[in-house]
Amino acid sequence: MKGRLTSVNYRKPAYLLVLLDILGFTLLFTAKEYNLNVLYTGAAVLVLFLIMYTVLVAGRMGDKFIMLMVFMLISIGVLLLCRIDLSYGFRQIIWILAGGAVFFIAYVVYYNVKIWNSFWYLYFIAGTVLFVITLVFGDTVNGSRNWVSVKSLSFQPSEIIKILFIMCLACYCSGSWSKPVFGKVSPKWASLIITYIFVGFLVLQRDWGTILVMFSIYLLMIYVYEPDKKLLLMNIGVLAVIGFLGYKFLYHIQVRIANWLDPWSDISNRGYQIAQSLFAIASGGYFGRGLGNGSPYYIPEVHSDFIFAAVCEEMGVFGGVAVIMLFFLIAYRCFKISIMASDPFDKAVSFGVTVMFALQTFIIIGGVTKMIPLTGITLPFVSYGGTSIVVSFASLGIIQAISAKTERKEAADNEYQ
Amino acid sequence: MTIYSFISTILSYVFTVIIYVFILFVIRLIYLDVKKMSRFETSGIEDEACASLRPAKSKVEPTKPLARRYNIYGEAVIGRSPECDIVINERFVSQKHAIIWYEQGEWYLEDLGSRNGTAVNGKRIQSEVILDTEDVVSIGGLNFVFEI
Repeated sequence: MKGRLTSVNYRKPAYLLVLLDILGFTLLFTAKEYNLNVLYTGAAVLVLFLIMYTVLVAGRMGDKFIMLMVFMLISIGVLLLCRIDLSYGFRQIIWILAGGAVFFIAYVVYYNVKIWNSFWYLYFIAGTVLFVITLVFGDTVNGSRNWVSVKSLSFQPSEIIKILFIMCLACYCSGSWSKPVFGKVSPKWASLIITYIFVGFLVLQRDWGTILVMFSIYLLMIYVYEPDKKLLLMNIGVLAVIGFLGYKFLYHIQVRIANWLDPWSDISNRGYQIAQSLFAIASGGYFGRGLGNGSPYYIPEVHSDFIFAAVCEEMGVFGGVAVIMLFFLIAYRCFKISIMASDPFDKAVSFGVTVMFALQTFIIIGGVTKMIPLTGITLPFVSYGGTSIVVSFASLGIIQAISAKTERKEAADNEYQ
Repeated sequence: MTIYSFISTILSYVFTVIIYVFILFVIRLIYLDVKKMSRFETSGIEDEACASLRPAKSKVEPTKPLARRYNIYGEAVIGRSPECDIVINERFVSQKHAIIWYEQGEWYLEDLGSRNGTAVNGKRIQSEVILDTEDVVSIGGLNFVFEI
């Protein structure tokens, strides 16, 4: 009796998600003059969700809640992308399908390979190579040189580098990288140098958002793992100095800060984007204007960085708060996986990935709502963006593998007792 | 106001309700999950037969980070071998180094013929000794604070 009850319970949120998708995509179907592509997109989201969730539950692949919440975010994201521009939604669903495949690949590979913790130099070299490729072959979009195109397929190497960087730091934090480099430089300083090299490359690319994410990951990892607090204070000091110099001498950063402090004085030009975003959020009210009733087209880049403003306009402040709550719950579950993990490297990796999700969410939602200066990065799982979706799914696969390891170990221990 | 925007406005309330009920369900499931886990942790051995070893400052430096705390339920063998209850993978710890067990209200510690020896509060032990809380147990030079 008890077993039956719990199994029904597990399905309840999934039913709600299916209901939301059916209602939402049917509504959009009528809004888009009965374009069948809307229905195909909705069906693809649903089928992918049902397949992945069933495999996850039946295969006992660790935590079941993260995938539920991630698909809630994806449903909201795809609904809004379809509503903004059908072609974005259609391309996004292809990326999500690829992401689903990458999720399982990352899960299997991370689960079965046990020697991740001994290759810090490979992660460093791979990251550097990707940076050099970006600098040499990259395209400049909106002032940042962070896109690489191979034929018609373009991707952002900096998203992949974030994962490599976390793995590299995790080698140091878990203590498995204990030998000094070249016999002299201890891992503590070597990881510091690696961080600054990566940040230096990002400065050359003018990718401020990723700099903020990477440096904050580094600071939080050493805050948690490094007993020597002087290192942390020193890094914060260096960051403050660099930030001040950047504000003094770099035009880009001056504009960002000026727009953050006062977007209204230059509303037709530089403050346009952030002002439109604030108008959109305000016009939504508590429950939103309804899917298809708003006018998100006024916001430039609404499909990627500014998707949160569109969520607030069409689904209301409550919808926006729900998105933030979902991210909170995802971060909470991931932190719990990190705490429960027994292997120190797994612990460090899952911590780093969680921090990455949380920081990215905070930075972009804070930027869109004018709480902090705006830097363009994607909102994980919601924004349009191929690399972002695929890499987010890959990191989710890693977290899922760690959670499965812990769960299976616990089950084995119970049986043994 | 067209029919479409009317329906869409109504549905925006429906969507909000669905999303929040979804979040409530997930929170409830997470709550049940955490509760089940804490029940599992407290079940089993009676409370007084639980103690723990907390790593303290030692003369020797461990090459791998130690756990924050090692819990002992009733009995624990400490050593380098993976069969031990408390595995400390260091060169100076023997395969089966020492044993701690609980018997009729007292905690006992005995060396299992280790190479580098076991000490309590700085004194090397020859036979089994009774442990008190806050005693410093030294396993081949690595210090632990014993806490009941």
